[in-house]
Amino acid sequence: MIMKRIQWIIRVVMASLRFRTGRSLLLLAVIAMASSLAVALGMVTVSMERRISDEVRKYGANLLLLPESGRMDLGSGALAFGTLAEPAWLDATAVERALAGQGGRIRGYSLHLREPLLSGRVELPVEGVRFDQIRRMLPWWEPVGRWPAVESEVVIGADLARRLSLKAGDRIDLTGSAGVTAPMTVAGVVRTGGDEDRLLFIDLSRLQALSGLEGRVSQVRVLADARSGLLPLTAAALESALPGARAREVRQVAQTSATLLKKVQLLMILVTLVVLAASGASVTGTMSTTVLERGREIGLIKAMGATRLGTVLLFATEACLLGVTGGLAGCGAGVVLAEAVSRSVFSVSTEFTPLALPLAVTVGLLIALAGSVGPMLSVYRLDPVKSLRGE
Amino acid sequence: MEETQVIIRTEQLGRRYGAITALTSLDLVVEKGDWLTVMGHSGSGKSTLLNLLGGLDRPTEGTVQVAGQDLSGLSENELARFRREQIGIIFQQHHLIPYLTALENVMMAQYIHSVVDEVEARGALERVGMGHRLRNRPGELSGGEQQRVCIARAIINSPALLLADEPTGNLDGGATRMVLELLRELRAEEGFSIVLVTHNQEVAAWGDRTIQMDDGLVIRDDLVGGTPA
Amino acid sequence: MILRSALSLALLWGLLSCCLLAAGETGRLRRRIVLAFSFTAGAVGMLPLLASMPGDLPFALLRMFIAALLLAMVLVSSAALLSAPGRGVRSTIWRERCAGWGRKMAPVLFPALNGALATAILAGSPSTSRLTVVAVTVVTAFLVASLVDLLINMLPYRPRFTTLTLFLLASSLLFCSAAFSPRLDLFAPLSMKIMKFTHDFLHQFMESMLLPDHLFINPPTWNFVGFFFSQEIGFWGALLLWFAPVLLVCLVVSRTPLPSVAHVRQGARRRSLIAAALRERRGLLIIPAVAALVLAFSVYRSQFPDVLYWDPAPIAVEATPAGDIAIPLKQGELDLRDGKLHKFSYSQGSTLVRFFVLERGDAVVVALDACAICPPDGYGQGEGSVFCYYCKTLIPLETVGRPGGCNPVPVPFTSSDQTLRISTLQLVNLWNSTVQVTTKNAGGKR
Repeated sequence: MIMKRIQWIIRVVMASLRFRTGRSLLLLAVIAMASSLAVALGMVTVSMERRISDEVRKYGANLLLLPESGRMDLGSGALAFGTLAEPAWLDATAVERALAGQGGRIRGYSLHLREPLLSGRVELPVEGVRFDQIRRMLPWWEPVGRWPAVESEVVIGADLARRLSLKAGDRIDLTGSAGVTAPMTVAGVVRTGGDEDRLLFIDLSRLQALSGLEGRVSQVRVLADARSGLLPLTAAALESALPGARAREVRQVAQTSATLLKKVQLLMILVTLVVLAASGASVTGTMSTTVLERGREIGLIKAMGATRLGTVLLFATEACLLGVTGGLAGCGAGVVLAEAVSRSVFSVSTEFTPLALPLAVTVGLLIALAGSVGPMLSVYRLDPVKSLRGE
Repeated sequence: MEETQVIIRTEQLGRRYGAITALTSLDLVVEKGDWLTVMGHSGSGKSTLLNLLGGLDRPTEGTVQVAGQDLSGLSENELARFRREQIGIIFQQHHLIPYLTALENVMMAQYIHSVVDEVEARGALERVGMGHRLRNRPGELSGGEQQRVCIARAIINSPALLLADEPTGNLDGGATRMVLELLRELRAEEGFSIVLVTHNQEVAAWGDRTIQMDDGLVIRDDLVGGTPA
Repeated sequence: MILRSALSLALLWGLLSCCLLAAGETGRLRRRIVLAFSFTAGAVGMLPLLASMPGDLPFALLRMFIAALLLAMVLVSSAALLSAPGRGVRSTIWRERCAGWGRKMAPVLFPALNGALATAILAGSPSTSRLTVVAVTVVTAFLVASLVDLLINMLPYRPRFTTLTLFLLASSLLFCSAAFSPRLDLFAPLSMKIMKFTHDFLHQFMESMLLPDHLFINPPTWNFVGFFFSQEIGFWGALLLWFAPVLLVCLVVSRTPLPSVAHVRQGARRRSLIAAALRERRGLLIIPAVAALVLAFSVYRSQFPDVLYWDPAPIAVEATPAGDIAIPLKQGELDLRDGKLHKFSYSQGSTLVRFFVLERGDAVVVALDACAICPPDGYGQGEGSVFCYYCKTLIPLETVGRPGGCNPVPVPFTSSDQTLRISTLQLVNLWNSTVQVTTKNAGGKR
């Protein structure tokens, strides 16, 4: 028939919270609001940072070699292949020579040439690559079908494949600006979730021949040793070795998102801090009122023989319960908020990180406890004789 | 008088609040099982005496011994322990916790004392005739009923001494009699001692012994001054 | 560095001796003497072992002892849980008999093991004068133990020990001491063993069920299956085993029956008795809680060892026109036979191969800076071993140069005229095949 201590405390605390429903709900709302902001901040940060690092990683390379006036059209979703303002190319041999000159600093590279080709009447965005390089630089590409074995085989991006209703083994004829038509076979279909899904990949030298651009490439992706500030040095060295080429660190591609993220983050941090402070203060206010109101009850409990700490424990449990519940509610609200923020600002949806839950609960607990330190102290100090005498 | 038979022994007990003297050099010995009534108008020092006996307050002079313990030597936590193990308190304003039911109010006393035992708490309420209103909150109970819950709460931990501060102050005649009757019955069963503060002569008549206080001094003690009229 | 670990070890010993002192029954002085004697015996007894046995063997032996202790703790605590009071008279007798033995054994067993550990950790490297180190260790140990004893005696509250909780805390402290040396640490090999076990088990299982292997499983399924092959499974599994004794002991304590109070008439008295019993039971949980903290700390130690590894920057080498890499054994300041790890890198096209040259015993070994299992994070050199950064396994120097497991993949070479010759073709092929397999195995997680 013995009831567990914790059970009893919870029962009392619940009764007390129910007795003052309005005030409890107010406290809950305040705590939930603060923790939801913290959660939203955390989730937007985490999922955006992951996205940015994904963007960097999806690339494999960490340096891009581009012709001086070439347009860069990467990392911006809708502009997969579009207006090349001024066609400009790099010389493949010169690039390879320059890369070889860097010695051990270059871990790998791939040559790319983007040119439109006609398939029947449809103009297709085509990227010429060397498949062995691609496989080394982007080992996570897993084409359905297989990798091309001979020059007349191509790999097609999944979206494009659907549009043209092509699958592995199908044939496709490609006509270049030089007017030559080459019969090709689809070896595999690749899905990366990025721009590549809308591209057709064919052998580099074949594309060069078809479009009359022998020895030209429009972009070189380089994986260079990125340890301790080596990257800018390598970039500079490559630029000086290749007149007419720009070397950009891929980090810069993701830079726009990163800058935006920083700004949004700063704003959210400020808002969160203000809200945390305000909610802490309002918790203190509400709790103080409650403690004042409940002075006689506190005196009574002390007079019945509870120790000071024992009395504080009852109130601390109340604060903890509010904190945890508020935190949980805040977690839900925070997820919605994070989704809204990252949809409207970054136009991507967030992933739910399981870390959000403990974060929300911790923030809720912290606010509830920090806010009730003062009231708790007055509970501790309260003299039972005085509080019982006052009628 | 043998020491084991004494519940309260004070020597030169005094309490001053700054310049105000609430109680001066009180020498009082109460036997176990006695019902002592303390009378006097407000400010006569009777509440101070009650607080000192209950370990809620500390004397500025002299010593107070309750149930064999010298209270002036106890720390804050030891005093709390003394209160929960030896003392039961009943107030005039039936101080019950407003958000707890009658049953839970009694269980709270159990919790403070040791562990919660619902069956026993229910039994205590049945003993004071409140078995039918276990789940009611104090706001739904009449004054007499509330005071009976208070009595159940005060005796649940089997105290050696029951302190009652104007327990019938807010009650009508019938309820007063019922409360006092209950106290007498319970005392007979449990064997605790009672110190009851009142200014009502009729109430005082229920006790074994009455002392009259004024200005912090005992001005009449019927153990010395003979049996009451 | 050695000073810091010596101090931490001394502190751990102080705590251990304190809890052994607090839990004993015989006179305080006598207990002190027993403890001191056992510790010294263990510390000195380790010396001939270190001297007579080659290389890693004494450490392996000691680690075996500690592992046996962990296993024993798991077994004993489960047995204690199963034979909880109220399961018949016989079990009670057994419990008491075991507890009696335990109490007699603990003041000898734990100090001796701790002494041996201290010697092994502090005097493990042959360069130092072992006897001096041991002497200093023993003296420091006593000083620190008395100091800790003094401090602990000032605590207001003294937790109560049972034999079970004493063993729990004492062995946790031992595990924690062991975690100060990667050679003696138990947690890392434990997680490795569990990882290997699950891996082998699943492998066998799949084979016996005629399930297709890695290459034929589609990626999502593979990612799921991959979890069981990953490092995490080892870590979490080891963690479970690591804290199992604490959990079991907590369960034992919380299942201790409350005293029967039916005969007590007065309700308040009855409740007081129960409250006191509950308080005592709660008090018994303090020691397991401390043990859990100690164990958590030792996991941290094991995961982030406070040891600096010798890890030189790779020297880039070029191939001769014939396609060989020639490295002179001695050239200027570079001496390949100094017993230290020498790393080299060779690049061919986009491939950058890292390999190292190391003299162990009398033979020179050339191996890739990568193993056949882990992603190529490389190795560092510790005392008498090399250390895989990825899976935190110590590979004794004796086995470097042999293939298999997490050993660095050996590279064939010829040596003539004080020059090592390595075929670039073989080297690059070996590297590519190794790295391709291991990076794929990681399930794309990294």
